[in-house]
Amino acid sequence: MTALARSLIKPRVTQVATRDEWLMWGLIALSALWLMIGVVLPLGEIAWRSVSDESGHWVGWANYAKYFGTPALANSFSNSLFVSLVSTLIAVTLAFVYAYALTRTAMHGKSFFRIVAMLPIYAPSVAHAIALVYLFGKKGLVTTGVFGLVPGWDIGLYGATGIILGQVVYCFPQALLILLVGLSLSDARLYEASIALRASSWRTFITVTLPSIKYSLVSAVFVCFTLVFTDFGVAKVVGGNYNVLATDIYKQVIGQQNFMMGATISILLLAPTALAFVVDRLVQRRQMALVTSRAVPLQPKPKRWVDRAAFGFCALIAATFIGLMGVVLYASLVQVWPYQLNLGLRHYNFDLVGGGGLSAYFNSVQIALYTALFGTCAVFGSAYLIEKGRGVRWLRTATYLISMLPMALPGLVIGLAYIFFFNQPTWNILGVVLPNPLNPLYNTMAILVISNIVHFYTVAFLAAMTALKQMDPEFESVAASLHVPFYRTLWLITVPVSLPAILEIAMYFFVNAMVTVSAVIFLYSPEIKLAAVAIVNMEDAGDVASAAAMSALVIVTSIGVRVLYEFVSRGILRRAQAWRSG
Amino acid sequence: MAMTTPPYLQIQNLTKTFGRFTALGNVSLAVARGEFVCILGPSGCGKTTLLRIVAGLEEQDAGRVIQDNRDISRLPPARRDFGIVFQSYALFPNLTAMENIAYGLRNGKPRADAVNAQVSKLLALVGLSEFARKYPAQLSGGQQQRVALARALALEPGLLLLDEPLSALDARVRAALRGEITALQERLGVTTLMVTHDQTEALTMADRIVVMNQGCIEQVGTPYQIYCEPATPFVADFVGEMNFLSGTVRSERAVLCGPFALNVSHTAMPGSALTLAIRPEDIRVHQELRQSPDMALANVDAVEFLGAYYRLHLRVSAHNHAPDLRLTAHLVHDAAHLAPIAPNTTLPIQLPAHLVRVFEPR
Repeated sequence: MTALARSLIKPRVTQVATRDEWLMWGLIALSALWLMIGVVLPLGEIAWRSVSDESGHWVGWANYAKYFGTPALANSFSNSLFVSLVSTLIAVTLAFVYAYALTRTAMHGKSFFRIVAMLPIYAPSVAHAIALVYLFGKKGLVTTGVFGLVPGWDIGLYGATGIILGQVVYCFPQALLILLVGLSLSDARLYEASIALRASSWRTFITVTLPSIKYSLVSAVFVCFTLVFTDFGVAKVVGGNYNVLATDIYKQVIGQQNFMMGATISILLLAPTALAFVVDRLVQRRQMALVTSRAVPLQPKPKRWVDRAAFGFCALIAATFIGLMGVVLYASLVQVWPYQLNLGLRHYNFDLVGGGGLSAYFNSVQIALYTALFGTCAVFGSAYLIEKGRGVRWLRTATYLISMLPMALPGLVIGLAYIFFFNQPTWNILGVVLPNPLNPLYNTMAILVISNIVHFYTVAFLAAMTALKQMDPEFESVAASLHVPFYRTLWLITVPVSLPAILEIAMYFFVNAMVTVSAVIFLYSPEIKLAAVAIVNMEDAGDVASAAAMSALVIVTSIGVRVLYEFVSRGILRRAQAWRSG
Repeated sequence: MAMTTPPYLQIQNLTKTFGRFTALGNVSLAVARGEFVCILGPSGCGKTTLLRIVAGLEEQDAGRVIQDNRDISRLPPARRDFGIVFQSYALFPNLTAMENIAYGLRNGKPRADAVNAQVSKLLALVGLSEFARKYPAQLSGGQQQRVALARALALEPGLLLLDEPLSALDARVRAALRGEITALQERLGVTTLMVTHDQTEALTMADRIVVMNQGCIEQVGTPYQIYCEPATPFVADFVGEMNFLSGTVRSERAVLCGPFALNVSHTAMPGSALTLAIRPEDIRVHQELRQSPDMALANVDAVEFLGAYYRLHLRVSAHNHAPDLRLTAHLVHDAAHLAPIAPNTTLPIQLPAHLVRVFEPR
């Protein structure tokens, strides 16, 4: 009898379920249901739309054929690939040198450089583009040579150049974060062995450093590629006539109301990111066993010239980032660029321009808070049930896999899928027509919050899983032996012990919900306008100074919340987590 | 054990497979009330799986577990009656020693003073009264293990399960805790099942030892029986050190083994092969060779000094171009002085027949 046959017919002994088990299974089912509604069904809907016509009839590959048959549209596919590859190459190279300087040299000011490098995360991608316009645009500081003081330099911003510049800034911090992890997981013993064997520093770099970070490098490349390929904000502002997929979707849906073509382009946008995601997951799995628990961390030794060069490089990058932020702030304060350079708060009065003004800003803050609150609960609860739950293994595995999916979904795709899924008044299930119970959510703040949670779900989910995996798996066993129900242990042990990770997840949700444009641009309603979307619309309408002012508000808010969070969490953690200091 | 009192814990025909790997193949075991039983075996032998099934943390494919006349085979862990201590201690890091011990006691709505009294009693029991308000990170490994033990005993369970409880500690603390745990177990009379891969732990602590290998029980017996009367070559090899020699049966009372002719009892036919086993400390070293069938001259290949004794690597030439017999002997200082021992000298040795175990092929 084969092992398979034996396992099929073996009489398994299953434990009887008590009230607690049923409660847990119910909660697992609930989190699976939430992911069905938030991810799987809308995604299925958009896939279906891409192969059907306006009246909902199956048309096969007709939409795709039409897309690639239209030269202007097909062109933007290769444009997207081109800018994504170039931006990724530049961003990852710069981030690698920066990360190397932070981890492997003895230069000064490391903690300062570490913080400044993260600045772009706190701004919408549109804001970087606006900063570029004020520097290199027709009336930009560099183009005009600081308004004629020095010879000007026109770099020809609009088009691929502008997009690449903006995207490099936008994805630099993401690449840096990944590479920092890779480079800090070093084993000093390998370097000592290399020195003992009298290998040159170049040879050490090739044989020790590169192999140990190759997985992080691959990961950084894929993350950057996905970010650039799917970003909408930068291309919208500085793209000029250079079309990319992301702007195409926007034009098709918002401009021409051609939803089917929007769906088709969405699926095209999805393909490379999904591929990148799969490769990344495979690579990540290999990374695990690379560093043993006995590894000795590397302490870089001072080397005068290397340290100076590293400092110079980091200072240049840091100055660029601070400069970009500074330009946005300066431009928002200048009365009339470039004619009246005296400063004032005129542009912060949004009443004279479209976009929603201050109410849009407060909506954004409110939505970011809700996203942080509900997103953190959903992510942590679901991760807890998957990692620490007992029973219904297949459902937990399925929920885990679906939780990975949003990482591969560009925001624009999520937004468009939500239009299709939530906006239709009825559901046609195998010929039975039912009213769509989720339709009332459309045009509410709720759908904006849900789309944000789904958009940023996977990164937060993985952070929660990591925190939970670090906890002793026998906590639950011990609690069960003491007859303590799981929810009590969750509340008394699991949540307090993972509090730093939970706060970090909430922070991540807040900042991203504050700055994101891509998913919500399809979903906001005239009554509920958003700050980041307002930036796009004001820029579109030519009110660039107001767009800069709104950008400044968003940047100051997300950085301000981060700073506030650092102070508060340090206070809370010191008091509530006294046990951490051994 | 009288026939009228059934065993407190009965494990009947437990089977568990993980994919193609058989963790437990039809394992049965009975443990008397108040008994301390150690499950001993190499890693991957299924001992931890057995413990986890008894706790309900793992579901068996087939078989039953009966505790105190109650079939608990299908009960989830929370409905069973046991306390458990893990190798990692699994102390809740955000609770003090006191709160850890009180964790199960505070379930439901007990009276605070009753809980406090019970916690104080338990802290005193494990000798940690002055550490009540310390967090686990502020305690030493041995102290953490004692808190874990107190927590496991807090609900006065009928069964105490210990999963490699001492493996994470250094040697000195481990030796001290061995004695403490057995003393505590004897005082409370709680039926205890302990899993370990450390034979010293099993030999010093257990009333009975269960030796497991590849998902099956090799032998159940007292520490003395396991060490001195191993039932299988595996047990003989796993517990303590053992020399294995192949022998040929010459007659009912004699087995040939190189130059030795040993008077051991067996049931094999003349001419058949069997395995002889003798512990290194049972090999005797003499000053001069006497004419005796259990004595021969051995060549000393190497001498290792291990502090308490010497380990000798010996080689005995066999007749008829057969391969040399290789033996390891342990010699305490006194005996070592008796005969000056150096590598590449010869030494008369004796294999006392009554200390030689015979394993017949199955």
